[in-house]
Amino acid sequence: MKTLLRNAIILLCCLCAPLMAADPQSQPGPGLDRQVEHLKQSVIALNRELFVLEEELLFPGNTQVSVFLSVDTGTFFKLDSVQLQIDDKELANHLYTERELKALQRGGVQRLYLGNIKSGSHELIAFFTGEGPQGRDYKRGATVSFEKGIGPKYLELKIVDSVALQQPDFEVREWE
Amino acid sequence: MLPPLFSRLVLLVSLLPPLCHAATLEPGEPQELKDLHYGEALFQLYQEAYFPAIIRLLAAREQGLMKAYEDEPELLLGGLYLAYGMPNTAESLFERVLNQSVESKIKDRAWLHLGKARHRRGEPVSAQKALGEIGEALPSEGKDEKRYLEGLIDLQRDAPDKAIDDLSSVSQEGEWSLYARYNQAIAMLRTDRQAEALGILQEIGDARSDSDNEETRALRDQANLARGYLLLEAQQPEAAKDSLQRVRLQGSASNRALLGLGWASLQLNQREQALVPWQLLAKRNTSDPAVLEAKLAIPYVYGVLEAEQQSLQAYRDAISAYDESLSSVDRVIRQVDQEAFPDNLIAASGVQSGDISSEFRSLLPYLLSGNLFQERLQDYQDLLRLEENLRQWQEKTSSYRTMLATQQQAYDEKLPQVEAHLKGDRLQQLNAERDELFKRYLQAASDEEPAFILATEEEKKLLGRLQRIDDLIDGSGAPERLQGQRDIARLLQGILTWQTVTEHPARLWNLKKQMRELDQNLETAQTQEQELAQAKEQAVNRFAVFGTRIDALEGQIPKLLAQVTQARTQQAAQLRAMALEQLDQRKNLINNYLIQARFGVANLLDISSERGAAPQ
Repeated sequence: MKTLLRNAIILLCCLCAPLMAADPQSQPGPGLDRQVEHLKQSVIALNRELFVLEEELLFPGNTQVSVFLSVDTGTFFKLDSVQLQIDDKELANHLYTERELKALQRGGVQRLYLGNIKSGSHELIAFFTGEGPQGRDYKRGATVSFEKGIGPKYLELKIVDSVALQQPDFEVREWE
Repeated sequence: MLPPLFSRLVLLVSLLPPLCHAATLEPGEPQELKDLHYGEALFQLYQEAYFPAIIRLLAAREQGLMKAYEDEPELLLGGLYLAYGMPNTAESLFERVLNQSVESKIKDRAWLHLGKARHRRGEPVSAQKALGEIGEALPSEGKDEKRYLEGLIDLQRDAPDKAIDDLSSVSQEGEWSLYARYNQAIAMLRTDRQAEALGILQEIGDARSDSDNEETRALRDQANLARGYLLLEAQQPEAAKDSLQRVRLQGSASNRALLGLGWASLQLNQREQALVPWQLLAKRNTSDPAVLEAKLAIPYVYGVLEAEQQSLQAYRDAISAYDESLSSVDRVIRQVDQEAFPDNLIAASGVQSGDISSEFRSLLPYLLSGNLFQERLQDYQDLLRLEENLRQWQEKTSSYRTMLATQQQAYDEKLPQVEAHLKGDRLQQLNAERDELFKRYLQAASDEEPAFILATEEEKKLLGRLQRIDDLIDGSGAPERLQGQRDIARLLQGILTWQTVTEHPARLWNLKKQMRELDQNLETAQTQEQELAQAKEQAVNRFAVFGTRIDALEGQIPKLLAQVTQARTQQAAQLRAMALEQLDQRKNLINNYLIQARFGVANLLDISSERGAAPQ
């Protein structure tokens, strides 16, 4: 019996063990830890340079166009998908996961499209599909004409809640 | 029989570790979006994609974007470094923000982050110092997090009284309140305020709500479990049972709750009732030490009940289960002792079938329970992803090089046309034409010049004809006879002159307008020609610059890749050693149970032989 009781004591010791996951390091292994952190720093620095290079090479400022998407609290509209067209050409079609939707609702902004267009006048059309007020299927479009100049062009598709209308509202904003 | 157990439990319960709540990484107070790139980093962050979020922020900073924010992106970046397991990098960044920023709101947040970074690295003194620098500019959530962290550090530094003060000042409404209350109870246990600690644990365990998420439910289970064992220790089995019965049957604490329930019944001398939770527990996965323990406790109770046959059978079942567990641990040890570890461990966590996989899966929660093991495994997985990332860039840079070469070839093919255009004298000709036109305009505009200078071709032709008629009349030999014709010719010339002179201002204005248009066209042509020349020059530079950049960056990849692979191999070796140590401990534990079960069998056989009848 004494041994049994000792076993119970050991079990009690384990009582909270799995809950220590977020505790500070109990046995720091400075050598390897430092090495891993240093390597992460180096790879991050390289990735930053490569990311900038890629963007400048593939999407130079004089032709670059980026389309972003943001949502409001999502009270009147739950986004399922977005289709994006510029000058009647379909450029992006995105289906949203729960995780992405939550990230958008918390204030994240998704880069929906990054590409190249010539300078001059263009027309953007976006179609939003999802669940509208009272759980009904909802599909709406938004359009904007814009001028592409010599610098990069940033456009934001915004889904906002219109409390006055009790409806979602879809806007397109041009950023400088 | 039982009291000695619980007298020894007192010390152990007092060592109950505090619970840590991993805060969600938030970029501060919600605010209006001022920059799309910052929002894009948030989008990655909220999906826990820390690495791409860091890259987006750094790239945007390098490109001179995000100017609408002051130090917000820096604080966010520091938080991301912390989340991505880079506490030293985070610390350097926060220190830089503290040196540069003048805003107390930013400074307070930087100190809070710095405190967290140091706490995470296990440096309680310097963490406390950083937290002590925080002023009054933090929002209420930040203040709660600060007090909560201070409470944890106090516990870590064995100052439970101060911990109670700090933790009790955490507001009751925020996300920190439940964890603060639980840890307050732990601190109270360390100052012998057991009754108050039990009260807090009961309050946490009883307060169930529909809005509870899985994390909260697990915390309530933990509170009920801790309270149950504390009451067992305090010889209050009824109250202990009440607490333990509140633990969910499917949660991670359920096995230990079932075990405790059995002990509580035994403490109440309700031996048959003790068998109920233990028999339920004994059917569960033997990877949990609580299950192994239950298998030994059942025959013990049968023995106490003098049901020797059932006791003997239960001991034999336990021995069989322990043997099987030992074989299973041995098989897992063989898997761990291979090159494929820990990849096979990671793969097993996602596989639904296969013997070894299922054994791995069942042992996973116990292998992974150690904080250090989890951090090492996370680092290992991060290194794996870095290797993958570097390989992808290797492919990409190679294709960019090809793309650049193709662009250069296309440019070289078009270059002769461009150069011919640039060398051509078309613009020179246009300029000469313009100068001629200007000269004509100046003549036409001067008062001395006749209006005929701007006459139309038709008018000029008519004037020529009239002049010829006049000459013919003069040369006819008898011009006086043709005086009538001469008068008509003069009349016509007068009409033509009148028309030309009256229309002269309009014609002059028209000419001026044409000249203005020509000047504009010439200017455009000159600009285009300059742009073309500039583009030609830039194209040569562009190819050279991009080529150099690709070369420089591409050259870094193989070296870095080799270093990452080497670090990953070292990490794997450490993980293997840690896993083997844990598995060895598990074998010792099972062997210990096995010896006790065998001893139980021998004991029963001895008793039976003393009575003269051997049990079957």
